[in-house]
Amino acid sequence: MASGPHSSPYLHGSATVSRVMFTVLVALVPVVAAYFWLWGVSILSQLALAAITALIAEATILVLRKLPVRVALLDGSALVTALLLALCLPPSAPPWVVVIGVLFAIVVAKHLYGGLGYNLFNPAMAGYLVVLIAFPAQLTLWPVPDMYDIGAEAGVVVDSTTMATPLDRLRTGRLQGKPAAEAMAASPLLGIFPNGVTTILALAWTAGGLLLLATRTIHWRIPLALLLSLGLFAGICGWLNPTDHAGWLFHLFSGGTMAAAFFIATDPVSAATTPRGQIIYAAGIGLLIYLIRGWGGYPDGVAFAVLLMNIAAPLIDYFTIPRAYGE
Amino acid sequence: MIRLHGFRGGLTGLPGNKEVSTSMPVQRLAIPERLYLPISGVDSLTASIGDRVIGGQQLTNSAPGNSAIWHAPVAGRLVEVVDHPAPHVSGQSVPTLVLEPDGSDEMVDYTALGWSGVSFEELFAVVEAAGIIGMGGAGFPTCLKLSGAGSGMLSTLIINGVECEPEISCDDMLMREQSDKVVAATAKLAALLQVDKAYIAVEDDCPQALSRLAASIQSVKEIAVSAIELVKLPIRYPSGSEKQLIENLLGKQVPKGGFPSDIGVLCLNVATLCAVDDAVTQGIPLMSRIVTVTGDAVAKPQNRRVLFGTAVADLLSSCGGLIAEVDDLVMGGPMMGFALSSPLTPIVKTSNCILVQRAPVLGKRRPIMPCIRCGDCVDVCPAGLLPQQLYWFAKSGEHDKAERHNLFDCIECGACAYVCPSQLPLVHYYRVAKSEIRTQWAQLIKADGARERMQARDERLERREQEAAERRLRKRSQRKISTDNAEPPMSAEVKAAMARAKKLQQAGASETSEKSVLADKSTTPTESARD
Ligand code: SF4
Ligand code: SF4
Repeated sequence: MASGPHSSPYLHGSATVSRVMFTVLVALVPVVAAYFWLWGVSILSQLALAAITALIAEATILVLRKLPVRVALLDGSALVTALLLALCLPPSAPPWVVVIGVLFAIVVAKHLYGGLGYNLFNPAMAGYLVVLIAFPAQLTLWPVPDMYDIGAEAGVVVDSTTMATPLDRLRTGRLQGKPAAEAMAASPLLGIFPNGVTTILALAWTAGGLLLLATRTIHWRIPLALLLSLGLFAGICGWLNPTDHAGWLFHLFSGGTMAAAFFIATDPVSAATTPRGQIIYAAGIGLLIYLIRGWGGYPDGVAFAVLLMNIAAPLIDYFTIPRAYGE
Repeated sequence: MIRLHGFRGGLTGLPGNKEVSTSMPVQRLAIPERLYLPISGVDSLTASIGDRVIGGQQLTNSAPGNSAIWHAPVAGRLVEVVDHPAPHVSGQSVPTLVLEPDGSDEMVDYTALGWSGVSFEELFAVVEAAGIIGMGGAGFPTCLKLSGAGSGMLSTLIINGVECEPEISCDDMLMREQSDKVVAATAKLAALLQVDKAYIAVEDDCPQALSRLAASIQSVKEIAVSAIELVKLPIRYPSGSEKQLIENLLGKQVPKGGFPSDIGVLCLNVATLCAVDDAVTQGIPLMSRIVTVTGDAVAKPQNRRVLFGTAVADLLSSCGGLIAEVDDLVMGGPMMGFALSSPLTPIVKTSNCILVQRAPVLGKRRPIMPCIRCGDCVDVCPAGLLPQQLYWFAKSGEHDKAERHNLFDCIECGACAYVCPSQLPLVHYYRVAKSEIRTQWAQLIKADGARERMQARDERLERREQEAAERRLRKRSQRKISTDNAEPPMSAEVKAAMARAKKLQQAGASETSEKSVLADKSTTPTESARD
């Protein structure tokens, strides 16, 4: 796109879209490292597949829409979408699941809505949701990391190399009427406990998130409001009914909570944009995550919660116009 | 000591570059061959084309309270009125009075009241007659500022020595070189207005001005020194904007649509204060100002005292001329200035700076991307707006939504565009949207007038019918033809419509100084009264 009219200001700060996007990519390094450490090299091929699919899809669509390709490819936004999506999938996900998810994210969720800046839904979450609904079997089982001596460490015998996530077990346990603690106890993928795989991932997402905060790539409002809201509801429910509910620490450090708080809900395009609106938006996601985890049909509610609040974002913005100077 | 309250939004870390233009003392610019005085906002000329005028002679009349009065900066002959490029963001040409100086220094015999002899009401008249408007950038008539405040109604006088933007140093130089005058005038004005407290606010990057002012406050013995406080502000853009300065000093905001006097404050730019002082103590009207010429494309950046009407080209050549290719001649600073359409554009009362930067600086622009709604612009907007939403509405022509999102509270400071990672020319969109909305208002007003005329016509027709019927009756009885004298009462009705239009316009535009923009294309379109 051409440069703009000669108009003030004639000074400009150093911020650019690509810088924002590449900071996000750098902030993903701890997460990639954690995957690598836990599951080895397979995550790299998954990321590469997602990235290449995204770039090809983006370039094709741009050509079809007769838009300049180079600038848009270099802005890094397609890469961010692809990598976020790939990092939501289990490392064992079949390649075609990755490709379908990314294609949906880029082609439908992003470009059919008008491209960068115009998409109503977070593309990564939309793509994730499509493959989750279409291929639940491939997405709900996570491989047990090689480094775990399966069974020995967790004290149980496991006869397969894949396992349900703690959130999934929590849900299954709930459906079978087992207390929360018992349902979770038998998994080597345990959250919050030492060596718990989910906890390691959550900590990696948090590390990346802190990097985003430190570089002022994201504002504290959304992560804080999301975590506070989820923690609060989980805390209240856990306190009222400790048998059925797993407690706030578990919820904060399992599933996609940290990824959502720092990387997904903070996607500026699909989030609310007024300061007060962002707090409402993120608190809404936190609440919805808990409702879906506790009572919904899927073990984790991050993607649904984010997409639902995406729909509400324009309305939230409308009702939270800030007070102008002197008003 | 005052405790600063800060203000919302804003930018830190802008390159000030003041030292570039402050190494030389302020020198007067030689009288140019021609002076160009834009007269689009004035009512009538008080001298005829071809007349010889002398320095200080009033050349134009204007509506009361408008202060768009020109005085001849020097003696010379009025040559013509031509369309000439105006110092306005639109770059349009407007009718301009051309004065050819004849080299004589003949001047009007000024009479002055002096601070001790002037009453509050007289001050208003003196300021109006001297043609003083805010010299910080917005050009709001100073007499109107005073009129909002009866004597004793104000509690605080703020003298704004905060340069409105980076690069500009004309107020800094004025305070350095005339600190005694600034302090004395502040004291006298404060006494006349019976304010409780007077502040002189200066930013941290003007150490010389600060120390000179402090010394002057110490040495000017006859004033009640305790009432004047010199305030050193941390560097933060736009500290010099009137509303932000008031918020920063007093912790109060000027009410939306209101004036500083509504909260008991009078805020004057230092240069404006000095102009008031000249008018009161010497009777001299406003005929020149200090202008910063800076940027890396001019040979000798400096501040110059320039007669109004001087072409920018003359000013630049007096500073060694351009030494590099430039994309734009910018009038004003890097954040709020605008590109001039011609180097012959004249310096006017609000022209604080001419900025010329080497072409690559402006040319090496990064590509414009779509808004990613990152909200960085929201965090820096001093007016508390949602720049990204305004951009959206401005772009899609949703003017009603833009207005509901307070488009007209935007002071066009450019902070949002400065931080925007998508390099969007946000301010440009706001300016366009504002002017489109103003045009709509104007059309509404016109339509209103048309409706009135339509009504008048209908009534007239009806009356004619009636009269015709009566005539026929009379004809039948008297067989005598009466003359049709149903002269339409057009002029009175149009006048009424116009009065209502004006009221509407004021109601619509009263938020800020847009009235003057509507009326006078030659003023800059900034609403942030910085005077
Ligand atoms: S800073 Fe630019 S990209 Fe970010 S929200 Fe504002 S207008 Fe949009
Ligand atoms: S230009 Fe207007 S919208 Fe942008 S930061 Fe300044 S006041 Fe806010």
